[in-house]
Amino acid sequence: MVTQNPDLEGLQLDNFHKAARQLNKLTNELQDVVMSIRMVPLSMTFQKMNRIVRDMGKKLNKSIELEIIGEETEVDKNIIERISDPLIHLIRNAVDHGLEDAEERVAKGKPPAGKITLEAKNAGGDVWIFVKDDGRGLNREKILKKARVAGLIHKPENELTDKEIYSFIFTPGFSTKDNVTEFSGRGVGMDIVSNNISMVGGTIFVDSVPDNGTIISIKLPLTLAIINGMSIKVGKSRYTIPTISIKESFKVKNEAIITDSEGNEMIMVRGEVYPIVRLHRFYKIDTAVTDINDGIIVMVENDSKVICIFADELLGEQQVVVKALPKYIKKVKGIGGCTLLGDGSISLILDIAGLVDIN
Amino acid sequence: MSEALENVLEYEEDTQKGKYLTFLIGKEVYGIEIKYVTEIIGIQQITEVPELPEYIKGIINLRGKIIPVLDVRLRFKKEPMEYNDRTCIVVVDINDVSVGLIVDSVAEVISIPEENIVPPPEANTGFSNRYIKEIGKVGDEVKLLLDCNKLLNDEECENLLNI
Repeated sequence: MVTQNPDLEGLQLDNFHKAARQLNKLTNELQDVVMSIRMVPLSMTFQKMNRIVRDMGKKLNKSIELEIIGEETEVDKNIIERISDPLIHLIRNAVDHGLEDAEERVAKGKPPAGKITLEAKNAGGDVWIFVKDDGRGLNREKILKKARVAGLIHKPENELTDKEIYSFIFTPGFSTKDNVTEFSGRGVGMDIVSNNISMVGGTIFVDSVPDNGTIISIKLPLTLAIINGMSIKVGKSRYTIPTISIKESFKVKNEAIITDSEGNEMIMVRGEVYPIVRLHRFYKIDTAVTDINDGIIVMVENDSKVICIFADELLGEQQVVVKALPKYIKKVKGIGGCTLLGDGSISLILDIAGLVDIN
Repeated sequence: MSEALENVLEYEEDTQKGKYLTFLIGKEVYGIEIKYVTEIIGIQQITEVPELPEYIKGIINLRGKIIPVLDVRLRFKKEPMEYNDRTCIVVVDINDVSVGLIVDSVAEVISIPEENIVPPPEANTGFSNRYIKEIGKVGDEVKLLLDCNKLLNDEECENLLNI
């Protein structure tokens, strides 16, 4: 940060730069240590579930087997604190709603003991947690009926995908249970679960196969506070791309660009074709660099989908503290937050997942 | 103790009541209630944020806090003007939302007694009328007192959404 101070521009300061590099190394080390203290394995949280499953199984007279995978996965301490309650809720749901009685299971040709799998794994910059049961699955018809009554459906029913229908369970006050029990039926649970998850920057997905079980996947960021980012420049604005999603960056010649009839640009790299998103065009920014020859292409990946972002120039990599955009500015597509740079100016952080989805 | 605190609070409220910060947009003098105003700063580097209405100029870094700034001139659909050293950002805090208002220049803080405040004329003559809550008379001058909530919230957009 200090080394990028505009006052130093153009000065010949070999010794200073050497010292600054040394300091940079030390602070990085210190930061790594601090970060590693913040990282806590999920095992404590996961082990709590054993007891819950056993207690509930006794009360509801179901025999349940809980399988825990990947409990050594590490997550930021703040996040763990926030996801513990949602996880308990999801497990309770699985036991109470998901799993059938022993007789029902035998009648369906399943082993009499229900099985719940709690799995955690790392994938790129995210942590995934899955809560899986082999119970009866979500009742599509029942959810649809309730959603219809509650007036949640805003498009033709035959156009709704299963996933969209299942997502209705995250709506406040939504319950398909007709009577309230000790464990469930109030319709507040899933709403709070999804709120808690999104509060720490995570997302929740649900999928289900009738009589085969339900799987709830939670995607969480590894850490809340700091990311490695590549600063890029477009016009006068600066943007930050999380380094983790960058595959490569390169210069191209105009000839390598393929344009389709609608004016969408694509580029062929090693036999594969990727779409190009010109940030200056996408966000209508004035810039002198509009020729592909002059700028630079940054190839980014999310969920195995790849796009190429066209920017004026790369400014360099640095660790940035993620800050949310002010509440007054509502959602801007493709922007996940902002950060302060060394000279006090603000850089916007691109939300690669969002950008990839739009394009 | 609590009584004393209450007294202090009351006292504070009293000192702020009826006081308005006035600023200029073009030739007109506008006022906002002083209780909304957190501070006044000079114009600074504004980071543009794409996809926003034209009057929201972007975000600024106010001692590590990131706040949006909106140009009152553009909000009132007036001609944009180059910012100069008279241009100020009035940071207001409305319902826990901090927003910077870019104004041509800040004039003064004045007290307007309640009896000198009248409702605006009914006739809908101009666009900016919508944001005017009341009109204050000071001597032989007239100050237009703004409704901060309306200033920030985009009725046009919401109206469009409702259609």
